[in-house]
Amino acid sequence: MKNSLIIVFFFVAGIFWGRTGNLPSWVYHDKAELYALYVLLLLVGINAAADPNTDKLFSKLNKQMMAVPLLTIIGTYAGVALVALCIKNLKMTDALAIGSGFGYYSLSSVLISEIRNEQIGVTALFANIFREIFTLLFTPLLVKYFGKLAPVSSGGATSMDTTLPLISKYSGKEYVVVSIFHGLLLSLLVPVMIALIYAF
Amino acid sequence: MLVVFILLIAGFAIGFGIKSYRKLTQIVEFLTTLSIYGLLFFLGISIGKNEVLFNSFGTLGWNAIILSFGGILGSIIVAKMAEKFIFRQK
Repeated sequence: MKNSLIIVFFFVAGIFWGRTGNLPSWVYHDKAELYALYVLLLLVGINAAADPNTDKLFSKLNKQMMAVPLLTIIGTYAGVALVALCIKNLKMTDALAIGSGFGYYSLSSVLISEIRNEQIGVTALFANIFREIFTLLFTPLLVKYFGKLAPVSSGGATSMDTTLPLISKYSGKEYVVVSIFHGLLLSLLVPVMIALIYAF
Repeated sequence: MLVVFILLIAGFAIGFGIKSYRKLTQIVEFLTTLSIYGLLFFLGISIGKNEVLFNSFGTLGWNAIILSFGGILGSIIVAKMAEKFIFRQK
């Protein structure tokens, strides 16, 4: 949570600096943002492969656990597609791309801003921050009314880091492995799914 | 956006390569945090300097909340059904 606050702080600081209009020229040509995005994508790949826990994680996995990320993806797309019908002037591909953030707001928002436009990118930012905050706040209720897997699914890509402590506490320690695997796989799928959605 | 796949796969290759060097993996984690801060800062700037976008914050925020809610609700309903049928033997 503390990390999320720092990230939001940088975002808001950026907005204020942009508002002043007093910007150095290298910020004005948007290449800086694009290169930062490329660096992050590379780092996401490195992190996933170099994490010392990955090997241990895969030895504990079973087939049922591997199905959980798929359930989250299906559920998210179904829900997003349904509510997108109620929003005026929103393309279905944009709605699905926003849903593909699975809570990973930093990566999804910037990637969508680059591929599509900033309007959809900002919507993705808000939607995915909301997903994380919602899971952080309502995990106890989610477990009570929707079962122990619910906060893992709701947390999406964040189930491996920011929402993991809560999942461990309210769903139980036996859900930690599936939660980490779920978050890791979805984090990797965020850029892949967004790129795929806009490729067609 | 072929570049997305190329970068991820290149990342995997580098990641497997540096796996046993604890110092390097710590640096990578630090760089990840740093680049996320940078990204959101740049995104903030491009929104701040864009008058039209800045003024449509309210509408975008509402759309975001509706979409987010749809996604969350869909995923937890599927999770609940799965827990009932797939994970019953637990």
